[in-house]
Amino acid sequence: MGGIMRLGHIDLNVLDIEKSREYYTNIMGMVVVREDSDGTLYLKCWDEWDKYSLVLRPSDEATFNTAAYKVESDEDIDDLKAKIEAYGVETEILPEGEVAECGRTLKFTAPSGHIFHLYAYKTFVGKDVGDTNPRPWPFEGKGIKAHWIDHTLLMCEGPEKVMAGTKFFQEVLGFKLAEQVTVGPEGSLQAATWLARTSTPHDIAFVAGPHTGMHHFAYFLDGWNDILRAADVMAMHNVKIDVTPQRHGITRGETIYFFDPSGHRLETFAGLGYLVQPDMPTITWTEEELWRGIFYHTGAEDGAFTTAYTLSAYK
Amino acid sequence: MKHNILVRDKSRNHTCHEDKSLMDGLNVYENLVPKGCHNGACGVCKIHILNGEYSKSKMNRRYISQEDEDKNIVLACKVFPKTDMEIEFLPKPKILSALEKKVYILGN
Repeated sequence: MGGIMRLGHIDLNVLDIEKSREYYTNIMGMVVVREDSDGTLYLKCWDEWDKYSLVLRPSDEATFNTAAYKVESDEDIDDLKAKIEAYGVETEILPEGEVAECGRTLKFTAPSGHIFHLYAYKTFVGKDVGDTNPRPWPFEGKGIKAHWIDHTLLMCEGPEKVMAGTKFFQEVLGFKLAEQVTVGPEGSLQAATWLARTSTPHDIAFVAGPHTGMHHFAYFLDGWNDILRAADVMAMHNVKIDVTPQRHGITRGETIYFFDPSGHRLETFAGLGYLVQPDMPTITWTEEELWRGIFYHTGAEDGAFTTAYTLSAYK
Repeated sequence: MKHNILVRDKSRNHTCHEDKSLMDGLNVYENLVPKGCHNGACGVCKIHILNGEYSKSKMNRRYISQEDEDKNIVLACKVFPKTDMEIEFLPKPKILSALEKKVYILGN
């Protein structure tokens, strides 16, 4: 198929790098795989094979920098560069190594307002369980032991930016629209969308809000038992939980929302949802059933869920 | 040690242990503080400190400038009481300007 494969990493600014190091290693169960002289940390989950899936930069701001997606081959970079520019979006090629451990990287600001990176190569490390006669999970390790980074949900300035970002991801980057929330006259506006390149319900989602930013990024867990165990681990360490274990109507995911030491919202997302295929019909949620779609059990709005989130960085 | 925190805009007061931030200490009481991320990224817990001694950790400069901080305008999640305090929650100005622009917010 070629083109974009999956979310590769999230790049954030954090307020206290040592608190973040302790949190992501002890609670999330990730491992620091690289440390730069400016204090930037790169972290990896046990079930990931590329070098890192999270970049944490010491900063005076708690903000969002970039979401990076991995493409299948180096030719995809040239192919997508041409397509993106033909669509009227400017691009830039960052030379090999400018994004740590990555090959040349295509950088652009999508019509959603967010900066994205696309790369084809990242230093290979391998899963912690190896690839010959592997155990199903590592005996070693700490905390939640998240499998891998799963998806991100980005906030856009109003439905217009959601729709512009969604159209771009569908038409130029080849994403499948799995689900949408429609609002306005005869549901003519998309207030939120869930898009996939893998066979899961989302590799990215866009939601309308007042500002450009990041709502959350998610780590994959197997199922409900792991969700409950993760919530226990969080409570044992006074992690601020935003939404206790809950089912999503949209994506069918089993979820917990919680915050890291800089206030970035994370999700542990369990279950594969359902099989997304190119011919699967898009699922639509109406404005009236919006909160049932988001929190399936309570079906009710949660005050801070759409208003409290991380803004994009100035730079 | 516990201190008494008067939230002037709510005309209510509750205690907060000095090991806890004002946000963590006060959020257990319903409708007293805005719900947010508790750690600095979201900016919903911006307060003006009117009285009292406190210690603080690093503010998110995306929301709190050095000038704000010098005028005791800070994030409640980064402030720890050392004496009784009087505070006032401030509206998040960027949200207000967005509402003026009538930007649709999911769920509103």
